[in-house]
Amino acid sequence: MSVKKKQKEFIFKMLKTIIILVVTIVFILPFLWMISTSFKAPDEIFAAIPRWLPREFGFGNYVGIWSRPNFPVFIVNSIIISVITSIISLTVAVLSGYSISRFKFRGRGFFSALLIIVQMFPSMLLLIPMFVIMQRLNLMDTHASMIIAYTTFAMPFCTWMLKGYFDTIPTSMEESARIEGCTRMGVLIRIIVPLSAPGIVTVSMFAFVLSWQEYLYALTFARTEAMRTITVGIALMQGQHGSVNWGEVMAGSLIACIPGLVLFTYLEKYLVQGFTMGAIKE
Amino acid sequence: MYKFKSKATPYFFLLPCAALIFTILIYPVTAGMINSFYDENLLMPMEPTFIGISNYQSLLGNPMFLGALWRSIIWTITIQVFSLTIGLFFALALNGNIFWKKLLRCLVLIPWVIPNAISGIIWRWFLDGSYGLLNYILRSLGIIQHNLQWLSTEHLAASALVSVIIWRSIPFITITLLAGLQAIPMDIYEAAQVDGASRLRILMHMTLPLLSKIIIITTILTSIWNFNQFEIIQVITRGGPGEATLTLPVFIYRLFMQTFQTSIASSAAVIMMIILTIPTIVYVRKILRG
Repeated sequence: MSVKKKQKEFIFKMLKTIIILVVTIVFILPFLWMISTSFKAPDEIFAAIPRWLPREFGFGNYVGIWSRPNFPVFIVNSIIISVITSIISLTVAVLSGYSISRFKFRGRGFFSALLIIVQMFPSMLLLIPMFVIMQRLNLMDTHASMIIAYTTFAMPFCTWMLKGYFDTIPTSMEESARIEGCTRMGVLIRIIVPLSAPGIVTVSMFAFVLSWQEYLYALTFARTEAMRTITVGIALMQGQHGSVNWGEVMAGSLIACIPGLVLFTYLEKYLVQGFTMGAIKE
Repeated sequence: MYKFKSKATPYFFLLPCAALIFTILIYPVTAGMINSFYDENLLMPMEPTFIGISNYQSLLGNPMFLGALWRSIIWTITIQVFSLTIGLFFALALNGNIFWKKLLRCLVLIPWVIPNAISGIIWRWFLDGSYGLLNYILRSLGIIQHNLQWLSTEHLAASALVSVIIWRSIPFITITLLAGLQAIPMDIYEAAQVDGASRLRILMHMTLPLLSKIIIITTILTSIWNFNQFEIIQVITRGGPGEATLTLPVFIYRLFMQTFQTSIASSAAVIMMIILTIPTIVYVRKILRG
């Protein structure tokens, strides 16, 4: 009897899983369609009756997009901008996050609120004056313009995330180091930073991905092909008119998705368990 | 948490962050707000003059602006209703007694973890009028006879864009509600089941009230994001055909990039910020209180 009941339960559980799996697959169908298209031959992509899967998985589109003169440039631009943005944001955020996490001082509440509010600013409100400033400083069409713009969202985000991480580290070690005569800065560099290495790595990955995925500032500040980042580069390949090489565009899109996919798959558990809402930027 | 006492040190540590926030955030935004009372145009070499609230008056008399404003509000509400309902469904499903939870959670997250611009691109291909998969599926199911031009027909383009943004919003809502669900202790469910409460009653009278706080926070946050959504719309339709998908951010961008009238575009952005003030304040208070 109990064996039968167990079997029944198992079948019921399996059935539910399959239903949810099917719903989920339908939900991410446009994404799966991108993957499928990116491996197809051109004649298959533009067939009257589309095939769900490619006849054979070919890498022609990937080779094609890599051999376009600009695509490697887009990737390099995205990497340069994202890495520098992460380094700047993180260096500043270690200091400010530590300060907010450890000290009680006048203006602490105000500063915390400010950090969240600036993350909520409509980017359009910032874009227009930024555009004017970049023009005056002759920074249009440079990596610097995008790095500055990205720091506006990456730095508050990193501060808030790191503050949350520092909160979880007990203060006892710092106290004894202080008694031994270590300076505050020494404590931060010798004790806190090594202890929070996993947190710092995670936060810098976030900053990298946020910058990698940005579109609005990159679209506005990069005026020539040589300065474009990957999101803008690919988006402009499928421009408004004319024929589009969808196979190559889909291959490029998949490449552009990789950092985000890797980061969030790696962090998935953390996202569900300890969700620090104040630190989430779209 | 224990807080150290020191007068100068915390400010010293905050200095770089505060300096950056001031120079790259507060200063430009303030400059933009002040500029909204002038008549600056980057294409004109003359000094901008102070014109008071003229920019605001002309915007409020501009049917294209009012249309975009109205569209943004209606879209945000529609998107929220649908994504919250579907997100709740996903959260409940993923919290249930099923196999492969981790895998399914990762799959549901996908629309949120890929870049906005790329979502736009893959949907353009998915909705393509000649070779798009959606047309093929709908034809095979007998729902439509001929391919629909999703992105170049006005009413279809609006529904398509709203759907894409709903698609993009669902994962975040799912994941936050799922975190909320997992924080609810199991024993209260067992007690309710012993008392003979039906599943629907448990959902309506226990689960949803317990989730209400997280639902409110998530709703404010996703509504602000969706009200600001620019990238997906810009990539897919750029506000067209006509003005069918012209929301406020796309309107501002178009105005700015076509005319380089910084002042009037700034005024429109200030109006956008004013609309977002109340939800932002509510959100900040909720977050800082815990």
